[in-house]
Amino acid sequence: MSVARVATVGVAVRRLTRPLALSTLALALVVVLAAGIGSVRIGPADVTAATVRGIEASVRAALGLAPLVHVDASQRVIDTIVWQIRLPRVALAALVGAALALAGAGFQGVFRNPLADPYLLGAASGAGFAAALVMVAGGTLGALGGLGVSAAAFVGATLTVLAVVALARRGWTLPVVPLVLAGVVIGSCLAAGTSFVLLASREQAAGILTWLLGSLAFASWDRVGSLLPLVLVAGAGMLAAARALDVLQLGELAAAHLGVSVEALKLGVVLAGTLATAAAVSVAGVIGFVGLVVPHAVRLAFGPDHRRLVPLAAVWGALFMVLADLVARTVIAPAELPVGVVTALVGAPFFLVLLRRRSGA
Amino acid sequence: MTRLAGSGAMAAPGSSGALLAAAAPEVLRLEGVHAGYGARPVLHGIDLQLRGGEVLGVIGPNGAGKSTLVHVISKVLAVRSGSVWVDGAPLGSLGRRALARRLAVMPQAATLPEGFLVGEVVRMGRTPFVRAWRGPSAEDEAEVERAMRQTGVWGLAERPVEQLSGGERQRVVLARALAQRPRVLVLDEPTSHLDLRYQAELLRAARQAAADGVGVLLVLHDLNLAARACDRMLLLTDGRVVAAGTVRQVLVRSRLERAYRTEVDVFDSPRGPTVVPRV
Repeated sequence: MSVARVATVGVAVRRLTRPLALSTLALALVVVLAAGIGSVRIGPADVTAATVRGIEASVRAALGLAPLVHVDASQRVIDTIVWQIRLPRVALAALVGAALALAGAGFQGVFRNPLADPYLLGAASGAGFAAALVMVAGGTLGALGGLGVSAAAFVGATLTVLAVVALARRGWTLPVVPLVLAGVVIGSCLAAGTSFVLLASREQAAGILTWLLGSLAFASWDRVGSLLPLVLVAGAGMLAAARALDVLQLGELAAAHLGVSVEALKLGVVLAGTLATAAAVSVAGVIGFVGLVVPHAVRLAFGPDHRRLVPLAAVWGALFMVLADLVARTVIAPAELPVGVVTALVGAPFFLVLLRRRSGA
Repeated sequence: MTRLAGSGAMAAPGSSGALLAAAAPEVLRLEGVHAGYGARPVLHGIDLQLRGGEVLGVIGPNGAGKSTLVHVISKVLAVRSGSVWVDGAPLGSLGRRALARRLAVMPQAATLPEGFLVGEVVRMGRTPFVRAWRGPSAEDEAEVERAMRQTGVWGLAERPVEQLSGGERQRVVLARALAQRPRVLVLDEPTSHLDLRYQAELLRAARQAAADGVGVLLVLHDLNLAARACDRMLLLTDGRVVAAGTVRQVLVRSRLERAYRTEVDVFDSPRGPTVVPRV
């Protein structure tokens, strides 16, 4: 591969393969751990075996083959817990974390600001407002964790960002400061709208609040399946933009001098990031801090170039989210903490430690 | 690659440069260029020719349109009327990447993003050549190394950019521009904030680029540095070329006093004229 050839020339090249392989391995370990912990503890070996059987059964079902019959009743219980209950949730957490971290990495790159996060352009407030409206409308459409709320959140997030982009654009250019200002202003308006809906609808308020704080309790393989292609598309878009994002860090003018189509790059990254954010928010509600902290931490740990940052942020976002959800569902079991509360509680101190170590070194 | 003799003095411009320039192809041409921002016109009919191998200085008071000229040539600002050719091709026919393969700009007050290594920043100069989803080719790497050795930053390849001194930073930015292997190199105030040694070092590197056949457009505030680094000069005032020619033809007391609206003394010396404002 090109990486190996480049290294022989001797100019500084930071490799991707090893950190990505190690990070993915760490993610796999955390997934197995998280799938084993809960009201029933299941060892790593059993989790792995149940996962293999689950995949096997799915493949057989997809091919129209008869399911294998397990005689062992206790094994069947373990299979159900791991494959039907825990793994969909763990997988969904991983995807949501990856999506938010991807979007955060892209936004921080395109705005050249480490404080940018996926919700900067109003995606969260748009999703929240739309979801709250649908929940108030009630019925099966507005059921907490239902498809109607997901769709509303996705559309709300996407439309909000598109409106912000339309407001901020000057002809064919997308100046960054008006973009961020429009995002903050529209976001504030929609947040106010959500607060009004919350106050006006006493009965649904608790449900709306639960959704707003983020939860992965309504996980299923169907949701994982609907989220996966969106995250893959957004991730591919972000990876395709990675080299140009590096050059953009020199400034918009310098990037243009180097042949980068800056306006197309900005619009593309904003759209890819919005797709990832809207997808994540639609299945899990508004989970904060992941999209801010993870890309930042990955940048401090592995360096700022986006060809490494984008894939590594996705993996570490997934890992962080799986751990956060594990804490959310176990720490006051059988009740659950909103996972957004956990990401903030865990993320903030972790972030501070990183920053202090950085400034001390 | 021609090595410049002597480290104490800058290579004398005009001697080898002019001879080379006469035979060398034209790499940049402007004819009657008008440009401006919004309702405000800045450039009023600029004519300019630059050949490979020569250093053309662009001087003039603040607000004369020097930076606007750089924006027009680098296609950041659209031409209102008139024509620009880069390396024989009309500017309008060149896409961003195609232009970046022919023309490099060393911008005024360039920023280097924290955390990147010197080698990584210089490699960004190969952006217009690297194809999507592919890594840099062996040729890209060779050009990066050549540009870094030429500017004396090869030994800094693994250094994070925030650890560089001012002079090293400017040489890294120049290396990035040279890594584009341009036919035209535009240097916009490359020596500002540099001390004497680094000023000389940078302009020597610019002259060496010209000796390698690049057409160098050098925008400078400092007339005395410009006098020593340029083969020809262009004096810009209020968006018009008010004088063009050799250094001694342009750096004339009456012309300068009219352009800068202040009294000056011009002293001639073997290494070129020296301009000092009266205070």
